[in-house]
Order: sequence, then structure tokens, then C-alpha cells
Amino acid sequence: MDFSSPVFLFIFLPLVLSFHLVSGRRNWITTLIVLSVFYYAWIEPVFVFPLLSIICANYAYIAVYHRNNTSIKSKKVIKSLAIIFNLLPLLICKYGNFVLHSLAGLVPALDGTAALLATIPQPLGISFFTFMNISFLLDNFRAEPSSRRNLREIMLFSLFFPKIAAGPIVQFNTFTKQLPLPKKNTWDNINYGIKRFIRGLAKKILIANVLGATVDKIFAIPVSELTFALAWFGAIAYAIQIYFDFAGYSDMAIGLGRMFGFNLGENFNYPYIATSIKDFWKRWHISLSNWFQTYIFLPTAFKSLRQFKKDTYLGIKSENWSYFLASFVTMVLCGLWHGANWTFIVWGFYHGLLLIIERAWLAKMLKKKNRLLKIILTQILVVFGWTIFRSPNLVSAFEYFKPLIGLSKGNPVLHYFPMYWDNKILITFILGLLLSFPIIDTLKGKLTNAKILKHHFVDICSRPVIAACYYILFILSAMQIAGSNYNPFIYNRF
Amino acid sequence: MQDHEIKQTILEYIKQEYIDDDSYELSSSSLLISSGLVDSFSMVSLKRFLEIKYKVSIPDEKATPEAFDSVDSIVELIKQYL
Repeated sequence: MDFSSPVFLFIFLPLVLSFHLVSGRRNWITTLIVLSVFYYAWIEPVFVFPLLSIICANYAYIAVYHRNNTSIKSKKVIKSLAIIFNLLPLLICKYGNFVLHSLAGLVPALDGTAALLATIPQPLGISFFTFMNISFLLDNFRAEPSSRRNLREIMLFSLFFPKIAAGPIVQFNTFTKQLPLPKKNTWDNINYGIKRFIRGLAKKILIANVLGATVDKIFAIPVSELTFALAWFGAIAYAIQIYFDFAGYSDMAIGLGRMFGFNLGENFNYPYIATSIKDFWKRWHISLSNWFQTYIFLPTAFKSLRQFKKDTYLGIKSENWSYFLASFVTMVLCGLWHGANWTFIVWGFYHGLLLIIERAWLAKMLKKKNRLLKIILTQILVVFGWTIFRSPNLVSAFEYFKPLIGLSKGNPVLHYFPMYWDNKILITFILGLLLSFPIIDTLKGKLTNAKILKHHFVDICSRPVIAACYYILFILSAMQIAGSNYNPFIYNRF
Repeated sequence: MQDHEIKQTILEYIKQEYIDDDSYELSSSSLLISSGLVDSFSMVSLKRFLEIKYKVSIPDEKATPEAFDSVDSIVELIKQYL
């Protein structure tokens, strides 16, 4: 029951929204918790109780940690225990099979255990759940003992159904400071939330899914047969697909959050207009980038800088060494977070390396260069990264680079380029490319400033037109959902 | 040590190390990280500078992007450890 499934769109959401509108505010937190548990249990009935146990245990860890008679030594033990306890399900379900399978080459006896772990399914949204709960623990361990902690609020924070499957990764304080929910503006919130949800649904269904089917076909072609044009078309189409898939999901989650009165923050800010890799990571999956910055990058940088006793090493400032190390560690872990596969680790390694090269000399070299040139260069590097991310294994990933850089000519007769696009694909590709740039926002800004649109009459007349546009978008998305079985959510796997 | 002396030292350090535009008017309330004026990594080197300059030790967990978001908030942080 993901957000774009018919059951969610036509049964669950209307029921929950009606409930929201008619019920009182008094027990609304409890009601939202029950609905969120129901949503999760519908998808993952087996994992509901482990998740609830983790939440209750975290509440207990914090309570014991802040008790007056807890010694500093005990606090350290509690802290380590809590982090390990939260990481354990993620490590077993997501990485256990991968680690043991990789080690089985050295110790063949591990192969049996790896096969056993492979049978354990990965619970929906386990990476997001784990990261949100670790941030909750770390923030609360360092907070004042008197800080507000309430089991109901912790449960809602951890289980709130709009964000449980794939974020955005919100911090506990950011989420709970919005409680109690305001009584006013319910209709404004619902109106904004529905529009935002439809925008996300359209991004996902009308762009990401349409391109996804073609991307799958192109990435299934033996790499030796791929032509230069087809390889680039496949790689760029995948870049558009993954952006619209996840930005679409995030819009839906943010819209749903708003319908129930919560601001979940933004997750994307036009990543494909980034002028550097550093800029790309400020615009792509912002909530995850912030998490890694707070809990991995900055602590690694602080700790490593303290170890450097001299100002420079090999003619490079200590600060820069510290940045190199922190960037590298952060990006490799970020790659690993995306999945238990060497392709994700190498993708993270690749981005870490790019951040280091950028800081060492590329940023200085490009400083005075044209903005468009910087965008194009950055996006070429990003697209190369996406081919690693998309490929089933490292060999295929590096083989895919060959046609991209013209080292393999492929078979233009067998894979005649127009075989892979019809008018629908071509229009979607161009639309996706255009909407990756802030064209609509710029246009909206200009129209808002135009004098004629400030007129009350024009404002009133434009409302039904805007409503009709959203209605059409929703109908088109619903028709596409009804007519196609292809509806994968890329980030749900993470 | 007076607040304004610390403030002045930090303002000069930020202008010299992180801001290319000499004509940029930086005030003690200007937002540094959240506005994108300086990147979050700058706080790592700024923290080290402050610790050496004022012979203090700022715990890592207190050195958050929020605490380093303006010269005023940095001064408040430093004062806790002077």
C-alpha cells in the first residue's frame, strides 16, 4: 500500500482524511499513532511488534540515562547499548547476507549462514526508521534531563505514516515542537497538502514510471551492444527517473504531513542545477545529507582535526586533510546506506573522491568560469555516478562507461535508437528534463509580481483554473495507474 | 574579555578566511551557515581557531550549525567556556 497504490489513494487516504476532519483534537495524537500502526501492519505485519519494542526500549534508555543516580560510566554503556540495539535489525536484515556472502570467499562455512540471512526480508523503511531513531537517541542523550519526552510523541515521531517508508528524515525536536497541532488553518493545510500530494503523484506516475520502463529495457541490453547515443539516453533517462521518483515520493509525504498539520521540511531543491558536487548534496535528499552532516561528517572532521599537531602535512593544510577524511568516510557510509551492494559503496566512494578533488583544486579552477559550464560539468559527473548506482554489479557499471565515453561502438542495427522511444517517451523525457530546472517557480514568481494578477478579480478567476489543472493531473495519474502494472518505488528499497 | 572584542576578532577571521567579496558588509547578526554564506565545514576550522586563540575547549556536541550560525551565537557559545 504505497502512496500511489489504488488502495491508498481511494480507500485509506479518504477514510483517514474524513476521520481527521470529523474527530476532535483531544485524542488526535493517539488516533494518528493507531492509523500509522495500521498502515505499517498492512504492509509489514511481522515487523510491527519489533518496531514498537524498539521505540519503547528507546524511551526506557533515555529515562535511565537521565536518572539522577546514573554514573558517567553507566551512561556510556547505555549510550553504546542503545545505538547497537537500534542498528542491529538494520545490520541483520540489510547487510548480514552481504557481509557474510563477501566473507564466504575466505571462510566457506559462512555461506550457509549468509543463505539463511538472505531469507529474512528487509522491513519497509528500516533505514529511515533506524536513522530517525538514532538521531532521537543522540539528541536526547545530550539534551537537558528536563527536556520534554513523552512516549506518545516518540511513537508518533517514529511511526507517522507519511514519513515511515522513505522519509524525509526529520529530527525529533523539529517534529515535536509542532505539537500540539494548531486548531486553525486546517483547510489551508489540507488544500496545500492535497495539491502537493498530486504534484508528487504526477511526478512519480507520469514521468518516473513512464521513463522507468524504458530505462529497464536499455540497462538490460548487453553493454557491448549499446551505442553511444543509446547509452547516454538511458543514463540521462535514469537520472530523470530517480529524481522524479524520489522527489515525487517526497512531495507526496510532505503533502500528507501537511494535511495532518505537520511540516516535514523539504527534501529536494533542483539538484540538477547544482554547480558543484558539494552543491548537489545540498540539493539532493536534503534530510539525509543533513543527517550525515550532523552525525558523521562534523564529528569525524572535529575528531580528525584534533589529531593533527602541525598546521600542514605534505604542503596541504590540516583543515583540508580533515575535510578529505570526513568527506570520504561520510560518502562511503552514505553509499552503503543505500544498499548492501558494492555498486552503492563504489558510488559513495566516487562522490567522496569528487568532493576531495573539488576542494583540492577543481573548485578554484572553475571559480571564475561560466555558471552553465559548471552545471553541465557537475551533471555529467552526477550521471556517471548514477550509472554505477543503477547497474546490477560493478562489472556492468564499468562496462557501461565504455559506450558513454565512446570506447565501444555497440550495435546500431540491432538496437536502432528509435526502437526505444515513441512519442510518449520522447515527450516525457523532454518534460522531465525541463521540469528538472526551476522553470515553473520562476514563472510563478514573475506572474505573482505582475500587476494585473494582483487584481482581486483575476485572483478569484485563476483559482478554478489552477484547481482544474490539479484535477487533470490527478485523473491522468489515476488513468496511468489503472493501465499499468509498472509502479516501482526506487527509494522504498533503501 | 569584552564581548565586542571577541565579536570583532571573529568577524575579521570570517571575512579574511571565508568571504571573497571585500565590500561585503558582515554584521554580528548575519546568518552564516543557514544563509549559505559559509559552508558547514568552515565551523570546523573556526572552532579550532577559537580554541587556540582563547585557550578553551568547546565540546564537539555543542559545536552545531545552529550555534555557529551567527557571530552573536558564536560569542555566546565561547563565553560559556572562558
